[in-house]
Amino acid sequence: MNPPRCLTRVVLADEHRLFRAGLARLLTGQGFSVVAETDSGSHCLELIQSLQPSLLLLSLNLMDQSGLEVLHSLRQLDQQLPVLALTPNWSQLSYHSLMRAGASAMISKENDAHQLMAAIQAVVSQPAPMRSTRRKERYISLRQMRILRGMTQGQTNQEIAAHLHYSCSTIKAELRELFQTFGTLDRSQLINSAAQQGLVPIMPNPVKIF
Amino acid sequence: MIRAILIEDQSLVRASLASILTPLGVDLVAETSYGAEALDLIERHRPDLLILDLALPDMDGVQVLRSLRLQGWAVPTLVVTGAATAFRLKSSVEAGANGFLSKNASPEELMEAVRLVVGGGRYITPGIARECTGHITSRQQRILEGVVYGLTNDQIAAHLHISRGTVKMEINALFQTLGCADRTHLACEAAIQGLVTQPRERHPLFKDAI
Repeated sequence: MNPPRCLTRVVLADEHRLFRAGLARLLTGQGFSVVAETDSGSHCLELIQSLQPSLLLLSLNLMDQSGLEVLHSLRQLDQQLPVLALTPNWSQLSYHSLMRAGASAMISKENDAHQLMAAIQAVVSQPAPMRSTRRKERYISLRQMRILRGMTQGQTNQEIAAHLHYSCSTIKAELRELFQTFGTLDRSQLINSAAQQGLVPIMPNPVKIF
Repeated sequence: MIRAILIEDQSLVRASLASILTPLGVDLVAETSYGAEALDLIERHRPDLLILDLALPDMDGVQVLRSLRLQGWAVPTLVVTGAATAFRLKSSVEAGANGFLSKNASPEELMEAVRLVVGGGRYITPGIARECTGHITSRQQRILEGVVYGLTNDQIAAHLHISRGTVKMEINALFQTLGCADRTHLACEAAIQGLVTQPRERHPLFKDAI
């Protein structure tokens, strides 16, 4: 039995304001109730605490952190809230990383509005799926995601280590594993491959160029 | 009623833009993910406006625009991009864009941009960069692709039939233009800012390189 849509209180987290605004109109038009939207992971966690929504629609790329990081923090506080993860394109690596971190389901922005509505309906009306106990699929850990994001900001290993409070050898070991996971040979290929799979944003950083 | 064509690769983003535009009197007469379909759709529908994303799966939005203008199509064009950098702004305007809007804009800004561009004016999203001095030549562009795909200078030189010294010189010029200190940083910047068109598959020119 599906709950009435107006009782489905949705929080939207995505980096782009135009997309959020349009999506909120779409969801409202379909009878859902969008209670808040944000482009920030930390704000998203605050909103969930204060508004107690019944669904989080969470993009992989936010302004301040990765959706994967938000999911990890959220699951420390709340095991139950249904989370539909939203990715730029379909990627097995994103899927396994997000599901492992506690997403209820994943949908890509390449899917259409009907598929989105169906995914939301499925996520809010079903109890959380049993997580697969097979751990053979490749995935990105929280720590690896933080390192990847540091690299996209042009940080060196030392800078990433200092920023995240890891040792340099930890960073190196994680990097070796990332090269394996992505099947790449160097840093630039790694970033390029991560960006193509939508794991890190292809985004402007105007301060650095001009 | 404004008749518009929307070229944007992600179906959900198209749906969300449509949910903002349609109620405000913009009739989306056609939409597609592919830049290659632009010409055909414009010939068929003769729209008042083209709304164009830059990151398309088959080609770069700037290329789409350039080829439309070369073939004499003056249809007012609003570029809407997630990577609103000074460099993207400059190349879009040089290719003949009438408007340039960040996906971080508000729905009101989107409508203002649409009205201005359709009315023969210009709209540029505020807050990008004060000036754009950088320019990347087509040779530098191809070299940059090589760097992003992890090729050595010798490999790039061989592929492009230029000397190793020329490759070095051009890479130094790219360091200057993009404000990068080393090759890895250059590759990261290029990948993250979307300066190198990222086909979903490896660049055919460089397929044999790794």
